[in-house]
Amino acid sequence: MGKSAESSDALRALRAAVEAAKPEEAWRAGRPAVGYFCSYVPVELLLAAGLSPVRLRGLGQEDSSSGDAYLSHLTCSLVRHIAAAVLDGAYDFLAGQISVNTCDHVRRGNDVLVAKSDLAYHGYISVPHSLRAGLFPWYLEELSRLKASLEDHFQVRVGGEALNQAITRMNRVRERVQKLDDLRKGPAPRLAGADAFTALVAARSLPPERFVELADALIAEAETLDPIAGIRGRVLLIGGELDDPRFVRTIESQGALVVGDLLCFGSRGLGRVVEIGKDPLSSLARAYLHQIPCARMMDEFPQRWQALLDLYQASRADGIIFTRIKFCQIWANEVHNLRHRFETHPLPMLVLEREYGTVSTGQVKTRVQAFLERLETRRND
Amino acid sequence: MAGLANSQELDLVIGGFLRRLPRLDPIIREITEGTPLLLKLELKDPPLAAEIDLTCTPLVIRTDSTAAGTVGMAGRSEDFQRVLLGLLPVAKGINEKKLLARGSIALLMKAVPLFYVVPYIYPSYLESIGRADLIEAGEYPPLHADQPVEGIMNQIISALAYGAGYLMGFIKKRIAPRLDILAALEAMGQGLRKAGPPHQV
Amino acid sequence: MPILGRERAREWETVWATLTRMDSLFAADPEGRGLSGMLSNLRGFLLDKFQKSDAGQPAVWYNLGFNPELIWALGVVPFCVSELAALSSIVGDQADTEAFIDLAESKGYSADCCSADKAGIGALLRGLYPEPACLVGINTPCDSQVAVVQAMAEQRNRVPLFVIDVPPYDDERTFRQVAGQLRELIPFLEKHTGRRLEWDRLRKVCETTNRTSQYLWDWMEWRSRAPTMQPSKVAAFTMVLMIGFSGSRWGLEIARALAEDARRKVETGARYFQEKARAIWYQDPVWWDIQIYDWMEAELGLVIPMDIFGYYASEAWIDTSSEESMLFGLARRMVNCHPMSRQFRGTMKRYIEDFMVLHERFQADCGILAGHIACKHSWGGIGLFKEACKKADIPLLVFEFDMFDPRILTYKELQFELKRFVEEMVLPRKGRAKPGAEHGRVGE
Repeated sequence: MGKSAESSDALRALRAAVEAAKPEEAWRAGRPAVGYFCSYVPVELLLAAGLSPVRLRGLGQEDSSSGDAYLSHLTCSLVRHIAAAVLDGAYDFLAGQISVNTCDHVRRGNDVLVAKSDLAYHGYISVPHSLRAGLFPWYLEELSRLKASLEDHFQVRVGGEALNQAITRMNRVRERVQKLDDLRKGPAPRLAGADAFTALVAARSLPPERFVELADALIAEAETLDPIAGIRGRVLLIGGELDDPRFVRTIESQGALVVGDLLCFGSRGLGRVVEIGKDPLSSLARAYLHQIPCARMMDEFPQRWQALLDLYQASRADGIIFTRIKFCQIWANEVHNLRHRFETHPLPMLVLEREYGTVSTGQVKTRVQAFLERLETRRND
Repeated sequence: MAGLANSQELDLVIGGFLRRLPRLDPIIREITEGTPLLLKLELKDPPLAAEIDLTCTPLVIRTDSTAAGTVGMAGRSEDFQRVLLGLLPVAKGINEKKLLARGSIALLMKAVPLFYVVPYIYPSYLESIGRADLIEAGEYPPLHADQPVEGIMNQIISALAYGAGYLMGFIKKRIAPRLDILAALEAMGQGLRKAGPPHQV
Repeated sequence: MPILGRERAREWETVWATLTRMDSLFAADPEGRGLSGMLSNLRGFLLDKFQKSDAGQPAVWYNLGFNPELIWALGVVPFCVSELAALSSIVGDQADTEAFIDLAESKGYSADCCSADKAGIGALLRGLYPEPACLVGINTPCDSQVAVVQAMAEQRNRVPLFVIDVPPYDDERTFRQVAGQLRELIPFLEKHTGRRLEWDRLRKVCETTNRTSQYLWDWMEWRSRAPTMQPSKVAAFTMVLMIGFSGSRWGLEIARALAEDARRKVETGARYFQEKARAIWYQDPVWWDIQIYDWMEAELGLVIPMDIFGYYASEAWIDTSSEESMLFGLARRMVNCHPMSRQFRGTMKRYIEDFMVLHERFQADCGILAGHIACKHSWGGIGLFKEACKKADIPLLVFEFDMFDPRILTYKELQFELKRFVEEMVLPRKGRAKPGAEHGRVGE
């Protein structure tokens, strides 16, 4: 049996960061930690303000009942788990949170946190639903207002130099994300998709320097590993919110290898470096607004489609697994639109709906098995 | 309502009238444009539930079913009697909450013209079963707003039908009071069916 | 039944034939004048659309949160994606709406999305709207719009799309931001429709909108009186007006018919049932069978004086003195007066405040939150809403249903929910609080 990543200390540390009941590393950094909801919040702004940015997640909470009481069972289970985690005290180390008008679920999650949590600070930005040039100044102004609000609440000043420093720190993270991506994509990957994904999720909780250290170690170790054997199909993972490497592991347990993703917690939001310049806030605004777009960007399906085709080709994928959390509407119709495009450009796709916090292992395995058989048949034909 | 104080009588009078409708199947199918609907009538005080089932040919009347129907109309028996007599137009019944309609508006609007026609035959039916006492005197409001009759052929046929109706009325009043108007309409229906393919379900 | 002498798709012909029959039925009864006025203008609206489409005038598609003034002003034909589905449910065959929903879902359109949009996409997939010159997509009132616009744009090998982004705030900055986008929209529309916007024409359209607004405010005033004389089933029509008819003469006439009918009914004072309880209907109307409101009135004595879809806020006036003021007025109206967009796109604070204002102004005894399952903004705020009602001591009924699809909650199930709430919660409580306080008597 060849050498696998299982014995990697770096991977264990990254896993621990993902599975931690509290993102303690950020907490121990000695700076106030601020949670944020969405990949359109520039973490560089928080770093420059001397804060520890923590991407809000369910933190392994199995019970979301305190969130359910306010948000109902018809709301996204990720948002319900986050609300529950905050209300139940799992995020008691946070000094505040920043929300976005990402979707109706996040907006209501924010309402609940504002009304019911003990968090001292609540920031908010309105991100346009289009990348049209005319809307850029609005987003920039929103970031500027967020900056002012952070400065006011935390009694700090966020200057251009601090911002550029934060951009530099995060660019190092972005470079590692790209490297991890490249490791997955190669003709004979040595790093399982679940392991690479673990690192990407950890990038949202760890201080940049700690992530860089662990990612470098993992990347270096990965080069010494044996190529993964017994791959029945190379797949891309696309869709909405997914922060659970167990889900990826379950997919891969059937012989699939996840060779790339276009996920919010994956490489979609961290895949490109940010330009350093005289106007760092504008640089940030441009980079964040023009990341590979989330499905909330109403006129950007063609860009997502192109990004998918590019990644499909670059990663030599055999198929696509689309996943979304039940009740998420903005990602729901990506399936309809993709199928529409598949009529002229057919690609095999499996759609898996999920509830946050649990992995229906048996069901996922059965569906992935059937999908892999389909891919194999297709290949043999 | 005098004479319809219990379900048995209601079933005898209104139920009996409805049970005669299959004889007019071709005409009713023309009126409802061959729409395969199931009209549920739910009367109360006294109660009677009846279905006019146009999903089969010939149409079937049921007074013993609990099916909801494609569309429905509910109201007091007294008000429904007035609908059949033409004293309570359907629109007025709905506006005054005396008739509660339910279901697809398109299908209801296909069924409603039945109640434009029924008042012209219901009194004869009541006479024929010896219940002329139930025919109320009163002002007969318009059952619907007139739509212009389009096309020369429609106008000619409408004029001929008016003449035939006038003639039947004249004969019944002056010469043969026991003239069976329903039988005449039934014959007209048979003619309709013979002359061309009727609306089939 | 052909329209303008030509055979059309069966679904459009069904709507047309039903409208014609309804108009003929209700026009004969003096009590039905208001309804008849609405129906005949709806017919005029449809005729105009078919006439213009037959003449080859460009069509512009849009979705639920947009108001079509700019499209009217360009003299082209507006088509809201949900239009035919809504018409089929309200004045056509509900089965057609359900068939549209099923078709969309069979093509991968998610069941989690709003049935208004699912049915709209189904109608598009059936080819029931004319080829569009372009598409205006707006992100209000909800996530379903974000989704449907993208599916609309994917039709016909990609329809040129202009996105209006409405921020979730309620301030001047937001209105200016949207007004700026309307300014950007004009050259886009001109380019794709080949028409040039004449500002004088837009001014006339805005003036029509202003007159419509005045009628809607009058209408609300008449409906706020207790007992409410006009039927509950028309309480939600502001929403339909704003989406489909805003700025058109048919919209004006429909608003006039609504307002005058409400006034006439108050003045004549004829009552046909005993009003026992008044409820603010919050969230979505029962479009799949609006006759259930008649049942509520006759059998339960429950009246809906106002619905969130009917509420028309006071910021709707458009200053027509300049180009900028018109665009600003249109933006403010679309953001802050369009029912749903006003309450759904921002925080729960506005949503709850509006309910409390309506409850007070319309002298309601209770609230009914008809929880359309796709309205995630509403379900996501349900806990805070319930708390607010409890604090204000307002009895509240909450149930899950779908406004265009009775397969989620059936007629009988809905009747059961309403009957139980009114008879076991509202009336006993009301009797204890204010003995004999019910409004109106039969025949008054």
